[in-house]
Amino acid sequence: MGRFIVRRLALMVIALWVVVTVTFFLAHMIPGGPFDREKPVPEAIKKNLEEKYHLNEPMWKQYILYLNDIIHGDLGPSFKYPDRTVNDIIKESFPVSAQLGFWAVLIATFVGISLGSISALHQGGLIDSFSMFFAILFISLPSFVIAPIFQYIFGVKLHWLPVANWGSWEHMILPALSLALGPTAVIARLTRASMLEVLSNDYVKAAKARGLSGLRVLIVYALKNALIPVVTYLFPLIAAIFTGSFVVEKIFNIPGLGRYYVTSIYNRDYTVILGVTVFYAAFLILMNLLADITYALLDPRIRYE
Amino acid sequence: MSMDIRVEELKDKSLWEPIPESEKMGAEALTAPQVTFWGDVWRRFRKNRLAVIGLVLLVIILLFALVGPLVSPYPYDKQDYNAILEPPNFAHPFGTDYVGRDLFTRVMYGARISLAVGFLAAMVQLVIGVLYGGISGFMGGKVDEIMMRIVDIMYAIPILLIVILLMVVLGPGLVNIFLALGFFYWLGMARIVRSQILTLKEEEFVLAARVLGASTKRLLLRHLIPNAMGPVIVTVTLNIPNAIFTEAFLSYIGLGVSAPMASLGSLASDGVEYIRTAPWLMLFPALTIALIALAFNFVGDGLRDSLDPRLRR
Repeated sequence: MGRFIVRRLALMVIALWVVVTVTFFLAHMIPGGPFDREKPVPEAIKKNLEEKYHLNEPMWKQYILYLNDIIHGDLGPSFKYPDRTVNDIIKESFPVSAQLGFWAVLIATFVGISLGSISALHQGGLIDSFSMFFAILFISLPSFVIAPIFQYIFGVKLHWLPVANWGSWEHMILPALSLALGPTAVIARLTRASMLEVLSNDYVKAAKARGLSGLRVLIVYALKNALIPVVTYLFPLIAAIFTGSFVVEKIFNIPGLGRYYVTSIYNRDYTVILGVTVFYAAFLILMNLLADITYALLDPRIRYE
Repeated sequence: MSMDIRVEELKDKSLWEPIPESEKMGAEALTAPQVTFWGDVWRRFRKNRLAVIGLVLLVIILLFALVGPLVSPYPYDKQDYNAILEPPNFAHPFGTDYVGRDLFTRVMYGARISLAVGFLAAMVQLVIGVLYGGISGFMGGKVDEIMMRIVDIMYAIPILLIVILLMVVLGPGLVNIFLALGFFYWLGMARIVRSQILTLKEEEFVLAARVLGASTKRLLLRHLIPNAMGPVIVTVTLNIPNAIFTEAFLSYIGLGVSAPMASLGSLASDGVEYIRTAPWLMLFPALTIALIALAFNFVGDGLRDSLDPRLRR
């Protein structure tokens, strides 16, 4: 187990290094320098700027400096907004994304597990067919389709909830639901499948034979084991919700990191794209690592050499 | 049978006639007709209502995307300032956009791009993924170790982010999307094929074939790969919507195909701005993406149920 975690950690560090290196060299492949504007900057100023950002150094030296900055958590400046660094942008906007993501994850796990369990208990029944049909339907709808449809129905047509923007809890409902719908469907299907497998085990039959009520059997005996695949999906789920929020934050005009990321792509603000990519990559790679570790901890049937 | 047969009885002519076909042993047909594996799969697939709906849907979408543009009276980029933002009507079933282009035709072209991306993703998985995983699993040892470490590292990298970066650097365009997606879409498949081959290698029928002197090529092509095909086909079908979503997502954030060409993602993205005044501009492209994904998911789910013999009911 210890060796397994060490190996995963090593893998994570290598993956991060690959991401950082790839981003660095991709950044240097981008045609044109960061100070090439429509209106040419005077030669002296350009030289000063290049000196300030070490652009006049040889490539390998820039790479070392860049690695050094990243190890110290400095993701660099924004060339579009000179008064702000990438770190400022992340500090300001990531909490918003995290808040939104937290609610989406909560909705997805709670509704998903409930629906999946109910479906498994009534396998082949009407509830089962209905919820599995809707599960596959929602898996087929990307969040950038769900979000505008919600906006249109609940915001524009019914006036129940605000169409966009951020502020009160009412502003959070539609974006959180748009993010949660797909993962809810995935969790419902996962729960149903593993619940069906667990319910066919002898110890569950024995519990039923002893006359315990269906609900008691479900909660005390079945759920614990059936939830292993769901728990291991939790970290990939958090990662998926965060990448899903790129578009959802843009559509609902939420000042989170996802919107900044998409805006910086529109504006071709390369340093912000690079910095946020490295940040997201580190975040997602960490989620992968946590997923692997929980899987190893939870399922004793899996052995690691 | 008793031994005391009398001679007169033997003289009975009918005893020496061959028995008619209908009285032969087994004529009551207690055995079912021989069914091949794929025949069996098809029989189970046909019984799954959602799977058949998915298959029909898929054929309709294919016709819509491939034949549609040939018969449509409007080119996808023809602007008509007399028909701006028309709601769906007889001449324009999906309405028109802000410069009077026919949305029905544009969605057809968008569906074409989506399907092309799906096809590419399937090919990348089938060729690179199956070969890579097959070789890794079959060779075993050091080769397997190194090949799988490479996959592990690439797997740990968030694909979407690198694809976004690649698209920022390479610039928008369909070919660049193909390149960026093709670079990564075989990873999952390589893992699945490898684990399949590893399990199959230990099976007795493979040992038997080896003992009978089958060559490596015969072992791989005749025994290992065909038996690993089930999970491969299911994975391909269920991964196609992911590739289609990724392209739509990239086009949505402005990194996909460039105007006036349209992908379903860029159409939906353009439509969002008109959601109050002309909701059909967003709804039809969005529904088309959903239908394509739905069709593949139905078919993939049906295939999984009918290919897995353990689920036989």
